[in-house]
Amino acid sequence: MNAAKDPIGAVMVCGGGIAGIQSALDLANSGYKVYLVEKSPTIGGKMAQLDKTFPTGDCATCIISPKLVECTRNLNIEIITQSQIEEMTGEPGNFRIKLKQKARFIDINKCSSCGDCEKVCPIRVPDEFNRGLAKSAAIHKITAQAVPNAYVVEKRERPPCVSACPMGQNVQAYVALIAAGKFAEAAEIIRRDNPLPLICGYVCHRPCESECQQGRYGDPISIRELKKFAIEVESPKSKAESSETGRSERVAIIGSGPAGLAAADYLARRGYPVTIFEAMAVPGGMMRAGIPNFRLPRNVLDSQIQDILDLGVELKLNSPIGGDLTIDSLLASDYKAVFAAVGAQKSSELSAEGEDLQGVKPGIEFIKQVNLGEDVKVGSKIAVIGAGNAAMDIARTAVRLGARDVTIIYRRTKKEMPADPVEVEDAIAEGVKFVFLTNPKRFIGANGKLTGIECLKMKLSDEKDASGRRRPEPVEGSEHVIACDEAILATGQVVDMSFSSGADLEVNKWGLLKVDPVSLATNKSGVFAGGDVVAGAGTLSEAVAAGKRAAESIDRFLNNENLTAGRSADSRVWTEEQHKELELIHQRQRLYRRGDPIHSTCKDQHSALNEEQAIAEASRCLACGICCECGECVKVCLAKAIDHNMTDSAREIEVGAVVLAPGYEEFDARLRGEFGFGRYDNVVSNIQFERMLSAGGPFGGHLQRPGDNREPQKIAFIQCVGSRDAANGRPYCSSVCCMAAIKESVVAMDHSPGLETTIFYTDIRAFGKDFDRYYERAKAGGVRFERSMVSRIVEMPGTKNLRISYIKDGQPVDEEFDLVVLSTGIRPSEEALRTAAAVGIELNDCGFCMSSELATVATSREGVFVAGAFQEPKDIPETVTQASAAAAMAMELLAPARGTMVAEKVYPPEHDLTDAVPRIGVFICHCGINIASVVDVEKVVEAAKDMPYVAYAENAVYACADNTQDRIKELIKEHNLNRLIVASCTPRTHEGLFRDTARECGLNPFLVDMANIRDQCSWVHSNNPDAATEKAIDLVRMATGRSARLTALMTEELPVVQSALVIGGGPSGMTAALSLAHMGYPVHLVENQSSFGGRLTDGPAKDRLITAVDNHPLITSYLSSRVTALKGHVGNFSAEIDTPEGTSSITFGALIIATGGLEHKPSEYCYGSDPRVFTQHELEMKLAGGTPDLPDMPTIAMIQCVGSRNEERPFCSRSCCTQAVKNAIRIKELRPKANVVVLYRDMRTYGSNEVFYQKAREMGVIFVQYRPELPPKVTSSAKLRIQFTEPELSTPVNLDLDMLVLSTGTSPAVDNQIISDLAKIPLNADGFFLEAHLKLRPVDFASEGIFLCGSAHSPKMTVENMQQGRAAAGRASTILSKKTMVVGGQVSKVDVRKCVSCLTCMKVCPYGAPEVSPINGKNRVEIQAAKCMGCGSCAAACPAKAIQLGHFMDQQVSAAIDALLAEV
Amino acid sequence: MKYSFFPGCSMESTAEDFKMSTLAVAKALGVELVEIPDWTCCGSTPAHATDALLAASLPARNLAIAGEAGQDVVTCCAACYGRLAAANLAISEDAGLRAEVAKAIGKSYTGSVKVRHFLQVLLEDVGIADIKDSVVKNLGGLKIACYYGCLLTRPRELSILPDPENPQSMEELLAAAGAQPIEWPYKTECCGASFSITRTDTVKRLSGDILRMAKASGADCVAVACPLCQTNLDLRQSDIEASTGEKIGLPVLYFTQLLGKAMGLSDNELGIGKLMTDPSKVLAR
Repeated sequence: MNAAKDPIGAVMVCGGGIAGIQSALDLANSGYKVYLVEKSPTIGGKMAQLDKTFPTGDCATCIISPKLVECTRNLNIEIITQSQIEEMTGEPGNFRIKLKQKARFIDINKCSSCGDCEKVCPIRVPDEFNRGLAKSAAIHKITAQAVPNAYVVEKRERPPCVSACPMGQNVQAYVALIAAGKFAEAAEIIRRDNPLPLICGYVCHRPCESECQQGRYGDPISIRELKKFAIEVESPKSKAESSETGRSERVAIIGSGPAGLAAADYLARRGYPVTIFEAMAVPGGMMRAGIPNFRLPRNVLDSQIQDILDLGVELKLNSPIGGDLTIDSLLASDYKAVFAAVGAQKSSELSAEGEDLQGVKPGIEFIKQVNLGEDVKVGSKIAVIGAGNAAMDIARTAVRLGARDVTIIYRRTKKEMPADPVEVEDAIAEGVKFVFLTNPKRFIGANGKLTGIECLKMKLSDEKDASGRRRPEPVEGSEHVIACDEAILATGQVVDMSFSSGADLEVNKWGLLKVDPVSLATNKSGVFAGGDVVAGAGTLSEAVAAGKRAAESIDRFLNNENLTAGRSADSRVWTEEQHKELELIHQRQRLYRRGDPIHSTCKDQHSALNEEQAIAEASRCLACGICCECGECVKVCLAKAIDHNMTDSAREIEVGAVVLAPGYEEFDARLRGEFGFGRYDNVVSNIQFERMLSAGGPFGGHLQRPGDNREPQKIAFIQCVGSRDAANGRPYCSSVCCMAAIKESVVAMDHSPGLETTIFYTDIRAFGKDFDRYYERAKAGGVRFERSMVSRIVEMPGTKNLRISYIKDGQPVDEEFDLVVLSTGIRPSEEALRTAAAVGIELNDCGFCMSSELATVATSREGVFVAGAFQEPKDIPETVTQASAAAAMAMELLAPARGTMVAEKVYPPEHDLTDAVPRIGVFICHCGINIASVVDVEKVVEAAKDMPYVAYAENAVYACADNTQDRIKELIKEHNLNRLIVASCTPRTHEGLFRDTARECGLNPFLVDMANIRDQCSWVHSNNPDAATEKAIDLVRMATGRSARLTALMTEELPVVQSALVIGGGPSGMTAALSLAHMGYPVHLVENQSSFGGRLTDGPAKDRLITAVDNHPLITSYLSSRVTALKGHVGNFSAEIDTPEGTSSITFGALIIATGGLEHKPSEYCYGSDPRVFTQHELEMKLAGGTPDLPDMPTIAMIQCVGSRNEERPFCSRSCCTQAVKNAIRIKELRPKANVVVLYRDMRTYGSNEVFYQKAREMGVIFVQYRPELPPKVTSSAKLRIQFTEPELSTPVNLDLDMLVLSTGTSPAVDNQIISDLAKIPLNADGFFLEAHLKLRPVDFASEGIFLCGSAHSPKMTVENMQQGRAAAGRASTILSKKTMVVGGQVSKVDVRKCVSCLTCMKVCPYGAPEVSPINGKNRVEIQAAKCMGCGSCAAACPAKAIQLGHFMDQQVSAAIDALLAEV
Repeated sequence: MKYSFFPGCSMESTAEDFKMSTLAVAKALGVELVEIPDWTCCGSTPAHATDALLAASLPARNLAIAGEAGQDVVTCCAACYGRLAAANLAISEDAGLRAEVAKAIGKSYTGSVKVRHFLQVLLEDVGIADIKDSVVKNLGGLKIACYYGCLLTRPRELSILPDPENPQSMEELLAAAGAQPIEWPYKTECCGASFSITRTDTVKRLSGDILRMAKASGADCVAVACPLCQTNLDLRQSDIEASTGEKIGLPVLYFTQLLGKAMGLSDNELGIGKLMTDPSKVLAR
């Protein structure tokens, strides 16, 4: 690989799951700067979602959390959350990457994660982390253990309801607040954007409701009713203060309709003196003149107007503009600005013949007269022409005035009517009749009086007009007469423009005022116009919006500001595409069930809602925007960490290499419709089931059904949902689901004794280390395994149990279960695909990352590496291994740049405190209200002040906040403090921070102590504040007692020998050696055979590898050699190597064990006695050598699991199934007519190997399962004959064979026991080496500095062995990259005077730290500081009390207890 | 909205009520269904079980004639739909078959005429909003088990339904008419179809399971969109009851009959009287 000349010593790791974390830690600990880029707000990935991990039963969170914390503590890892790669340019060693970061709306540095915001957030949406089984607030922390430990606000685009409102009312916010019972807050939100809220609550045309997403499933939320409710339930608005200091500039407003009033309200609040000129004798404009009182009660109108007048607005009635008083005269007097807000108060004419007949009335004038209280008489038979809301008002008014017969005539159909459907329904209910597809042609009269209307029938053409409705066309010859004595025209309204006469205002083509659409400014400076006078007859909310817009412009105008800066013209209605997209999100999130119809709880629009109804109705809101920006969180955040105005940001970063570890997504189980996922309550995915089992999950770890909370008695697991499924584009095996299902069964049975679990499977793929043991244990423990494909699931009515249909012993069986868990497969995430495209790497047919055949972590683009499930589905240990391997490859590429970009923190020298009297500083944390709402913090502070040696005590809202750290530093100096106690949360997450603060002031970090008064006090005693306060005082007292006895602990630096020893020269050992050599470290490679290569099949790949090893100047080879002695510790080992040339002594800093394995040689099936019987490896050698000696139509059998998975060797050798399948394919290619029969127990062709299995079947290879208790029989004479039972035929089959191939598996290397003894590293029961942790430390030993790879670890495929070799190199580099290492501090020390050399400590120490060596002629134990991890096991176990652990010495612990008891 | 209408033979006999209700509903909604002149049998089960060419040619003949009128072909029999659509697919994908069919029917036909089920026309062309508007007497929350059977849902590539595993089309339609369709798990079970005559015992078992599941799930009646389903569930219902001694009593109506009721059409126009299990009680509610 060629890197740029001066590579950049930084790596970007994409994906913060376990793979990304491991890569990042390895790189950062090896001298590289790491940018850890994660799409979500927290790192941890899928593993953080799991409950327990097998086979150890560890809690997944407990074992991953320390790694997460380690990432945040590492100075050289920058975690960049909510980010993705947009673009990547450059070359290996020198890439330039564009990142896009989503806004978090939280300042991570300020957020203390106290959770106060979450409590007040009114939004509850399905929680993705819990896969919809629980709900979370819009402001939330993904998990309690989230890293970074901060909240996040989840927002989508502005919701459709808000976008649709001309006034920009924050609809989602007030609906959410009503749902939360916060009516006052809801009213406050409504009033903020709406000066006429109650009027809108009665008569707004509800554009929000038309856009409501809920309306796509059933009825929209009754938003208008909720608004009315919120305003009415609250006491009248408190007398508004004109918020700003009085202004002198007077503003004139023409018209007291909604636009005028809205402008007046806003201007008055900004301190302007406002005068409204109203032409009529009463205020309100069209609200009063046009809307009948049965729709808008007059007291509501009056009180809303009065509220505005109460702000000091002057109202001049009977003051039309246009006569004596003109716009110019207003401007000439002392008005500095004018807002023309004249409404459309005149009916437009129909221009039909006979319009002048008595009885033909203009509609607006008619309704105006009625509304203004004039005595209006109506005829008995009335025709209303038009179909808008005005027509409905007129018709219904006429009914109320006593008209006998009211008919609405409309030229289109009901569907096209512009009127609000609710109004139409009301009109129908009141007896108004409708005649559709009819258009008046002329009015007919007698004696000047109207007698009828001659009409034409209309039909709708297929053409659409400008309004998008079908155009009505007259039907020839369809003239007919509708008799009536009165006709009221409701065909439109126009504005009386007389007010503007002589003002020289520009008009548009409709004769209305022409304004700038953003500022509403007319051509005349200082004159603004809005509402009907600009746009023609519009709605109430549009008028209010115009008034607000004009007010803002006038304010800017009077302040000489730019009128349009930062503003845009219109509210925006969502496109159908956007709606559909949102609908999909909703469906996915709530697993939308069609069976539960969603209907409005307030069908009856007329009766006011009560509280209960309002809450129920508001609770139907789907929270389309998620966060509604109601601002409740901002009110309670004492840290001022929330900023809703944050925006997405972009960033450019230069790195030398990239590691992609974006993880995976689960298969969408809805694609397997026969299982009813998303439809049946009690069918869940395995990730959902993990959350159900988790103590931190939605049910607190109690096993219950999501549908009805009932405890299940019988659970079924269905395997391969979205795996091994070519029909759904998932032909591969997802590798992890078998063991996951077995583990979930076992864990569930632990949760719920008596539970029955059944796993429906095709093959159980327990192919990993110790997996088969776990599988057998589960079987013995009662987990039932049914080998059958489930054809479908039926949910039983009533019980909601699930009936599963499957085949058992050839017969169809129906069986009921309480809960079904679908083992959903793994697929590449959408994010991964996007990133792959941005980075420019190739994917395979299934969308996984294409990787090199020999180096699985290398992608198609040089310098870009891959790790984890994005490369291929895999489990955690392999993911971790691959992550270290990917890190290693990046290190190889960037070897010259190692250490060039890392930061190291420099601290001031430590004060010598040898003789100093303790002066303790105590800081008591409120943790927002987490502690302070229970514990009386001030009281604790007062108590602390009186405790011995306390020199200073104070409280802090957040002890961990940045500003508090500065304060602590100041106080340490000011009061000369030499001990620090922080009483707050847990040392697990925060001790490092406070120790660091102390070191920055020259204090030894071990002089800091913490008292956990949150987790162990306020949280657990929240119902007993007094006792909790007492306990907090006790905890602090204990800490002070201990603190006074704390001593500074010293550390020392030891040099590291920057070279490595690799034992074993097979593929894994050679790869490890080469990788380290490429990184620049000298390597000693020891092999006991006379040549390198191990079990590699002969061929060019093997030759290339050996040549590379031979030619690398940094590798020293020792062939036919063995290690005979091994001593020392991490960073400084020494060994003696027995070589043909004599004994060689070497020193090195890290050791890699790569001793490999052997192919098992069987004694059964005539192996060795019949020359036609081979092992699989022998066959492979034959095939590699060219055409094997076989007839044209040979019959060949292969037997799997020979000498494997039995009592003697109870493990799976993992590679044999795939090897057999590939060899079978090769045979079929060479001899297409060959009969090949593979006899197997479970075909374990995991991952993409499944594709070969499928191919083999397609080529005609026959696979027959055998049961271990009924193995095939082989006899050898002249003929080699095999007998086996085909399960479907249930009769024995005899075949005469040309060749029999035995898949015999891998045995541990013979030398393993010797190496184990030499290096003091353990073996497992099967004779393979035992790593430090099966899950998270797959290539480490518990003893530091020693690593493991290849078949020495467990049987594997060659590429996997090589990958693990590279991983071991990556891990070793974390040690070898350092010149020195720090040891000491919190370590154990032996008092040699007390030690009797009983060796108890050596037995209990997990790290091999105690060492016996002669001191003064006697053998004494010494604890090697470099190996001691400070766990304290030896100190606790030592019978002579000769061992003390630093920082936890006996006297320190006693002092804490004494301090506690001192007050008793 | 004008379509070429392929009634199929069931519509002329056992499912006459399906044809009547389809035409009545179509008329009321302004959907014009013009019978394909001189239409012949679609081939139904026997043809495609015996001869691929015959199975393609019989529908092709009808489609070719319809093609001359230039409109989509609409049918309401699920089996006819299946045969017409399958022939279209086969002919458009297989040039050899296309040539053979042309020879057999004496016309060239490329598989280009669109075949649709009446349910599709209602949902996609008329639209739920207009259907809602056309309702004069809503179904009053009638609990309906919508039953699709196999021919509308399988094979997937011919299915008219967006989600053949859990179809919702009839539910949407009847909900618009004021019914309360229930969710139940046997929507797409097989009723036994044309085995009604040859293997009555099997049909009784399969259809009996369907009826009992509908009843256990709380249905007042069953809505169907296939004449074979209707026959098996309705005509065989008394036999099914007799074989177990358990009374079921579930009326089985065509979706067009239920929709027609909601649109205020008369029982006579809808052929309600032709049903075996009396629906008058549930419809009266």
